[in-house]
Amino acid sequence: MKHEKTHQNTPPAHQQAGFLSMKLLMGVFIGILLWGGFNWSLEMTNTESYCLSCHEMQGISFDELQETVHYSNRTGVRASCPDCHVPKEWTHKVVQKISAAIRELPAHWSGKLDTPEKFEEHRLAMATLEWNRMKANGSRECKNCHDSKSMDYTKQEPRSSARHEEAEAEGKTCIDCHKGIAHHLPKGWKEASKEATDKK
Amino acid sequence: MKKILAISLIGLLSLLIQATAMAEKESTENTTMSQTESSIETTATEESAEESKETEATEEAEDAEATEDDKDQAAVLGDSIDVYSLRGDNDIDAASEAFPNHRTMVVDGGIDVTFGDQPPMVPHSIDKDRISLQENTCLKCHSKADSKLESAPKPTPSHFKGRDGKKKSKIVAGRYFCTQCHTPQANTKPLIKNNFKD
Ligand code: HEC
Ligand code: HEC
Ligand code: HEC
Ligand code: HEC
Repeated sequence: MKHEKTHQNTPPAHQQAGFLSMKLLMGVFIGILLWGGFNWSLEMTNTESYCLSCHEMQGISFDELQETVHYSNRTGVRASCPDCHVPKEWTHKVVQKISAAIRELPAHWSGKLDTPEKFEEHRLAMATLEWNRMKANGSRECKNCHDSKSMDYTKQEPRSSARHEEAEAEGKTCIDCHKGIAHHLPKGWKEASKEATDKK
Repeated sequence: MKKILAISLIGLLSLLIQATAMAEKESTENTTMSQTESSIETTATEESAEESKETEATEEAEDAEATEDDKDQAAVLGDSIDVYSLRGDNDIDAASEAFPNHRTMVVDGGIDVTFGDQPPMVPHSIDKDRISLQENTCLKCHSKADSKLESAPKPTPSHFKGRDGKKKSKIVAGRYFCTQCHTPQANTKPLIKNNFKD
């Protein structure tokens, strides 16, 4: 806006400058639209109801989550699908979203998981993907809620605190020990999970 | 570089499409929800109206018999009949009494057995453990392979003996469902006195 005013006072450059500022304005406007639309898309696709628009078909993931402490517990704090499966940090979130869109959308349209049997058959592969992802990022999503600095070992069961102290020393992360925390485990999970954990 | 750009553009586009679909779905869902709700209500009232007509007649007939029966029983049992169901004596349409809320006992080092060959009791919570055909999360720590690392007691050799009396490498089917014998405990007052002596 400031530019426009100064340019108006200098007639020779007026037309060109006006055109330029128009272009700039248009650019900004489109930018805002794109940016807004993009962020809006991110928001809309980061809700539990969005995940469930596909993952409810089998009902499996959500039903299983409902049995666990992450859905209903003493304190009433609950975790939703994106809390554990989508990073909170912006760049990681965008990368995850795009890669998920590329992989999950075609798989969805081709009906890869459209029956419980197909889901069960495919579960070990999917779980392994998640284990590897969480292992690679040091269980970042768990730590959005569970900060080990705020964890009071003296308040935990002895069997928990003993392992947690060791875990810190060994550089292990949550998913190394806490598999199947939100969903049932597939057959053969133990062998597969040993592999995922040993990979480092 | 162009490839990456193209792929991420496609990704972004599909994201946008999904988001719009989602937004649409949400708005339509809200309307259909309220519609189905109201239709359910109307059918329900219609049905109950029909039902009550049918049952009224038969109930009247039964009532006469029932009072006779009640009189007979009252004569045997005294003035009042005290029958309690498992729900206690609160009304049918009242909420049942709250179940006393007892926390699972956590005992470091385990709970002592009170007789030889007693299946030891579980000294910690098992709320999040599951036993099914696919998984047995108790064995996350209590399997032969993991028990040492997790300092969890290992099942005794009897758990590895098949029906043919031969040793197996895995826990046998008859011992697979841990909670058939091993249960967690809560600190409660015993309901009845226990006279058990070893
Ligand atoms: C368009 C339908 C669709 C939506 C929406 C969707 N998913 Fe998926 N999801 C799939 C399909 C199909 C697969 C199987 C992909 C494969 O492995 O081929 C899958 C796989 C997964 C997996 C298994 C691991 C993996 O990477 O394959 C996780 C975890 C997951 N989805 C979480 C989510 C979460 C969280 C959301 C919400 C933000 C979500 N999904 C939204 C269809 C969908
Ligand atoms: C949205 C926040 C959130 C996220 C994300 C989250 N948790 Fe939790 N978690 C909780 C809450 C809240 C509780 C328990 C509250 C209670 O006991 O009252 C809990 C409880 C637990 C427990 C204790 C279970 C028990 O039986 O007491 C474990 C283990 C756990 N979480 C592991 C994980 C792991 C592993 C991840 C990552 C995959 C994770 N959590 C991600 C919020 C979260
Ligand atoms: C070396 C393995 C190991 C690692 C790594 C580990 N845990 Fe645990 N954790 C355990 C064991 C064993 C228990 C007790 C048994 C159980 O609940 O499964 C436990 C219990 C818990 C509990 C319940 C505490 C209680 O006693 O009420 C929470 C919450 C928990 N873990 C969260 C985490 C989080 C978050 C991380 C990652 C920062 C993590 N754990 C990493 C082994 C581990
Ligand atoms: C507390 C964290 C947490 C929450 C909340 C959560 N998940 Fe998961 N999810 C996991 C972990 C960890 C895995 C890896 C497999 C495992 O350990 O069970 C997983 C695996 C999956 C898989 C792969 C198949 C499988 O069963 O292993 C799908 C699909 C999935 N989640 C979808 C969902 C959906 C949909 C929701 C919301 C209803 C959801 N998850 C909520 C932690 C979570």
